[in-house]
Amino acid sequence: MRLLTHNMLSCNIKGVTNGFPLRIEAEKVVEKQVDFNADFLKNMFPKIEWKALVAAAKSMGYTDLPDQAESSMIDSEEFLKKFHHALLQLHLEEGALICPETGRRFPVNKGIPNMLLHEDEV
Amino acid sequence: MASRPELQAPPDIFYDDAEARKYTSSSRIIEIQAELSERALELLALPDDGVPRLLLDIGCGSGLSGESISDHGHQWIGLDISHSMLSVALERDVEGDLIHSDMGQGLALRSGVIDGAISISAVQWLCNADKSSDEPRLRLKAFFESLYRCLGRGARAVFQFYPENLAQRELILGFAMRAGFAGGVVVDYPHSTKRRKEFLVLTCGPPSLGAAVPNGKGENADSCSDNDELSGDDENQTVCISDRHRPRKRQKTNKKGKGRQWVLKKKEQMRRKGNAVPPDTKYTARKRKARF
Repeated sequence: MRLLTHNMLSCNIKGVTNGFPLRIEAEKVVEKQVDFNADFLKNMFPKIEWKALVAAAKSMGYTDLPDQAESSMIDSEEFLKKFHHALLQLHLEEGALICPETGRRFPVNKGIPNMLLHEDEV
Repeated sequence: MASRPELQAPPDIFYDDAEARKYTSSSRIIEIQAELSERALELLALPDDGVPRLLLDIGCGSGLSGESISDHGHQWIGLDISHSMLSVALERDVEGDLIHSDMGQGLALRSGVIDGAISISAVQWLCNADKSSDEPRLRLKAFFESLYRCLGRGARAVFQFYPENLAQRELILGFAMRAGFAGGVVVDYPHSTKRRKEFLVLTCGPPSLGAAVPNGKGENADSCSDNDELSGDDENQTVCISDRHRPRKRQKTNKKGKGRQWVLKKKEQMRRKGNAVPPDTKYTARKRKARF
């Protein structure tokens, strides 16, 4: 699971108002090569929650992202490369995602998070 | 014909390891799924600017449809309830991220982040009550509401599905409308039983110029645009006030009635159509006594 997907995921247990972002417990992180596409990154940038991305990247072991990001920074090639690396090339293979409000663990196996809710959580 | 898979078992049980493998190794299924995915992406009407978008593949299964999305250069997130199908997708090394989840529990996604959604041969599974705690209506509601929320403004959702009957199609459409979607059903090759395919095309946000429901393929294809039904339902929900004391318009009857000329004209029309019509005689449209 890439951080792109993690940045979109929010806990949808019944009654939870603050289910984003999910905290990452990383057990196994893998780096994969993905083609660089500046257009995609510039298009995605406004939708990304930057703080969540930085925190997630840190928990996966990548600390090169700047803490703050303004839209003027997307013109910088260097920034885009870091953004690309964090967003698309870091994969969480094994670990868990934890809901910030309820503490519920969503396990991640082989890169697939299990977001199935129990009957009482729907 | 074999019975529908939806009537045999819940999707996570029906698509076990053996079935998942069989499904994905059938060249016929691969071909059909690719064709459906291509058509769905076409109906999604993403801007043709070469910018990759972030799409959802709902009920992605073993990634057959996701591969079409990747071929078009877009990023995608796939959701499926069957662990076996997702395992096959992993083996095929698909480019999109996979999430093991149940669409009837709602999509666990933030608001307004998705640029479009497709679903191939999946949403009809929502209409079955598999567990005793399931209620298809609640599941449909949760699914469409969460989908509406996570789609960005102007984004579309295209579902290719196999409704069991008219009632099921209306049910799904109804919940989509209630969640705030506009749109309708596009039917490709409506007159061919084999090739007929239905696509539910939903749009978010106010309808724009480009948001007219597209036409289906095939000769004499109509887009069964249920736009009217979608908006008409709103009208039916208004309260009717009946006033007994308001004078009713009397039905105006033409005392002249329909004369001989009219009858002769009608008989000629029927003859032209090919119906068996008695010949015209002096007795045709003769004035009869009031009590015939």
